[in-house]
Amino acid sequence: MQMHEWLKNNDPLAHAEAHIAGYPFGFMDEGAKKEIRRSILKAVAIPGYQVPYGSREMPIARGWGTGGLQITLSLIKPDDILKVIDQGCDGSVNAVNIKKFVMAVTQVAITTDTRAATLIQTRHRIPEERMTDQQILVLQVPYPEALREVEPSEMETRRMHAEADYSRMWLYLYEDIVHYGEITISYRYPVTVNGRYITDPSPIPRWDVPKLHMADTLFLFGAGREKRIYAIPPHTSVEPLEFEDHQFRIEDFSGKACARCGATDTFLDEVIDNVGGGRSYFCSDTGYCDKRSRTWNR
Amino acid sequence: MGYVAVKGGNEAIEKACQLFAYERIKGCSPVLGVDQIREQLYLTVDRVMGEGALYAPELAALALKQSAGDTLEASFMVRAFRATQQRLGYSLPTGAEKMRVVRRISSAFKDIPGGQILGATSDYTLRLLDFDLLKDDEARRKAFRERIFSSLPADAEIPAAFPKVIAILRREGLLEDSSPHPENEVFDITRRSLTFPAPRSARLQALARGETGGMLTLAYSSMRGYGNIHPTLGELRIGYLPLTMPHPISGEPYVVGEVKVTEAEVLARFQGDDGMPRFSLGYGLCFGQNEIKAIAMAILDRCTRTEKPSCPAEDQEFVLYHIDGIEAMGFCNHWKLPHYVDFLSDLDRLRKAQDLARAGKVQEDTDADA
Amino acid sequence: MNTNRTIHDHVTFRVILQGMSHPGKVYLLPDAPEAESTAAQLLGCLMDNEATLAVIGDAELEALLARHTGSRPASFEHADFIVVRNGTTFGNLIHFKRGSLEYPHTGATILYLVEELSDAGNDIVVTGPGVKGSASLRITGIHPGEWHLLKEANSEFPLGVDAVFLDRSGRIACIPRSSQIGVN
Repeated sequence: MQMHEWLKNNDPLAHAEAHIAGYPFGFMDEGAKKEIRRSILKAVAIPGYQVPYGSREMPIARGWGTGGLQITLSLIKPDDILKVIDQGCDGSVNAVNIKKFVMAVTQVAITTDTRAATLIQTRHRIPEERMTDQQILVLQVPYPEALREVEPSEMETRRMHAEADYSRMWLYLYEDIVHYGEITISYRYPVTVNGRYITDPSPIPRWDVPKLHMADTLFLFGAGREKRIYAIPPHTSVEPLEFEDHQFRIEDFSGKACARCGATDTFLDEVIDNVGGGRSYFCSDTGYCDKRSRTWNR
Repeated sequence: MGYVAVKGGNEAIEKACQLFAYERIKGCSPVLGVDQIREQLYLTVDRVMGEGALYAPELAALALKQSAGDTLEASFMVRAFRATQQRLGYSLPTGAEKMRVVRRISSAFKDIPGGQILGATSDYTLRLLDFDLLKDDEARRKAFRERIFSSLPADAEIPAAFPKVIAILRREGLLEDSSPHPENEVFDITRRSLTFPAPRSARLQALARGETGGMLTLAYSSMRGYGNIHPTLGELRIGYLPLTMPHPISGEPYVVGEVKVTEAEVLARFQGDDGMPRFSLGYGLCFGQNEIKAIAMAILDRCTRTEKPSCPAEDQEFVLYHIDGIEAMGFCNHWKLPHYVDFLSDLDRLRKAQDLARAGKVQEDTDADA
Repeated sequence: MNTNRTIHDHVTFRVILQGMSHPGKVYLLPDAPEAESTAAQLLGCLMDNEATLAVIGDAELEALLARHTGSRPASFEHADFIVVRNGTTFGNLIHFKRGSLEYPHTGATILYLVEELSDAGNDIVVTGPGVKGSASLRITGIHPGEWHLLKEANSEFPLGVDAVFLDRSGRIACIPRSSQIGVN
C-alpha cells in the first residue's frame, strides 16, 4: 500500500491517541530508531558481522528480548502483521509480553500464522514453514559473540574477527570430539556466514540452523544487553562449523511424532507427562501445530 | 496436559501483574505518598536517579513506590522512561568549585582552606536502632526541629564556594595534570556502544550509571588486595552544581537549574610518565548523595587506567561490562524464562554422548555416525 | 512530535531495508515526488545529529539536507553519508571512509541521485549475499567511471562503502559492499 493511501485511510493522530499515553508510534525516540536503522543497514551490508550500537533501555528487562524489540520497533509499519514467538510458542510468557507492548505502541495486527505474518519476532526458534522474501524474522540474542566460548575478552574476539583468526574455535571443536566422540554443542551452534564471519545464530536448536542457509528471508539479530545488531541477508551461505569426518547434525527425532497433530517433520518438545516419567512429544512451533490440527480435524 | 502447562497464557500473565500490584496495597497502613518517599527515603531516591541515569526525584520516588522499594526495578523503570525522551542538547562542562556545598571533607589534610564541612551524614552516628522512631509523629518532629534550630549560632553562614583540595596539590606540582589525553567530544555510551580501550568520558559515564553494590564489590576487591591502588580521599563534596546549557540560538551559556551530586577525588599511587613522579587522580561523580558509589567510582576510574590489568578491578572490560545493574538484573532474571527448546537440544547431545561413551567409542577416531 | 512524519520514516526505512537486503532490485519509495525532497525523505529516516553528511559539489543541497535531517555537515573523507549529484564523485570515492577491520561498519553510505533506475536492462549485474543467482539493472545518469571506483573501494571486504541509488521517480536500488559488480 502506498503511504498516502494509508494515511488517507487511517488518521494518524487518532491513531496516536490510542497509544500508551505519552509515548510515540514505535515507543522509542526518533534518534534511537535512526541509529538502529543505520546499524541494521550496515549489518545487512556486512553479513554476520556484529555492529555495535547504543542500545536503549526498554520497559522489558535486559535479557528478555530488548535487542529484538528495538529492531522491531524501529522498522515496524502500521500495516504490518506481527507474530511473536518464544521457544516456538505464540502463547509463552515472553512472547505475550512483547506482543502486548508492541501492540500498545503501534496498534499493528497480530497473528499466530507464520504465512500471514509480515514481521516475526522470535526467541530461540525459526518457524517450521518456509518464509518468503516479503517477510522479516527478528531474532532475540542473549550472546551475540560466537567466540565467547573460547575467549572472554571483547577486544580479543574483535581482533579474531578482524583477522578471521578462528583457529581457537576449530581447536575447541576438535577437543570436544576427542573428549566426547562428537561435537557436543547443542543449541547456539556456530556458523560461518558468507564464507567470512563466524556468527552466533542465537540459541536456536541445530534443527533450525539449515533454515538460515540460502533462505528467501532477511534475518535480523538483536542483542540489547550486549548492544550488538547483526544480520543474515536472504540468499546467503550459512555453514555450520563441522569436520569432514564429524559432520554437523540436527537433533534426532526418529521414531517420534507430535501427539497432537501427528507431525514427524518438526522440532518436538519433550514433555514429562506423569510422575512415572512417561514422555510425550509435541510440536515446538505451536502456530504450525494448530494449523495442522485444524486440517486434521476438518 | 503438559502441552498447556508450558504455555504462559495471556490470562495467567495478566493476573500475575494484578497480584503484584495488589500485594503492595493489601495491608491497612495509610497510602504511601510519592512525596513521602522523596523526602524521607531520599538516599534511595538518589541512588535510583544515579543508577537510572536521570535526575528526576519525583519520577525516581514514583518508581520506588511502584516497584515496592526494589531499587534495581525502580532504576530500570527510570531508565526505560529516559530512553523515550528526546536528547535536547549537551550541558557545558562545569567545575565542581562552583558547587553550592552542603558537605565536604578531605582525609588527606587535617584542615583545608574553607574548612571541613561535615554536613548531613550517618558516618558519625551510632548504629543503634532508635526505637523511638516506632512511635514517630508530627509532635515529636516539631520538638526536634525546635531543639536544633534554637541552638544554631547566629552567624552560621557557609561561603558560596570552596577551593578544591586537589587544585592546591596541582599548583604545587604534586598531582598530574588534569587531562593527559583531552577528548574533543564526549563519547556517549547511550548513543554508541562501548569499545575498548574505552575513552575516559565513556568510562566515567558507565561508572556514573553503575550499580552501587556492584561497584562497591569491585572497588573493595582492589582496596583489599586484588590490586595496589592504595587511595587517599583527597576530597569528597556534596552539593548543588549549576547546570549550564548553551542558548539554542545565541549559543551563550545560561544556567537552567542545579543538580545535587556527590563528587569524590582520590589520590592514588604516583607515577611519572615524564620522569617527574606525581600523584594520579581517580574521579567519581554521581547524582544525589551516594558517597559509597562516588568513592568506589573514583577508585575504579583510577584502576581502569592501568594499561596492563593485573586483577579484575583493573580490567576495563571486566569492570564496565559488569557494573550495570539494569543489564545484570535483566540477564539474571531471564533464566526464569522457558528454555525448553535449548534444554531439549542439550539432552539430545548428552544422550548421544552417553551412547558413545557406553559403546566405548570415545577415544577411537572412527566415524561416530550411528 | 509529528506522528505523520514518524510513520512516514518507518515506511521509508522498510523500502530501504528491502533494497539493501536484495541488492540490484529496484523498489519504489512511498510518495515519490521530485528527487531532492525524496533524498531528504530517504535520509530523514536514518540521520540525525549523531550522523554526518557531505554532498559532493552542491553546497545548497548540503545545507537543505542537513537542515531537514538535523545532521552535521562534514568533509567527504569523514562523512557517514555522502550524497552524489550528477552521477560522479569526481574521483573522490576512493577517499570515503571504508571502516577498519575491527569496525568495518564505519564505512560510508553513498547516495547517488541518478536519472532512472530499471531492472529491465542489464548494464550492471550484481551477485552476492541477498541476490538469488544474479540481479541486473540499468542505471542512467551515472558516470561509467564510478563503477571502477566502487569496485576498487569494495575490493577488500569487509572494508568498503555501501551504495544506494535514487532516481527521479523515487525508485531505489542498493549495492552494498558485499556485492560483486559486473559492468556490461
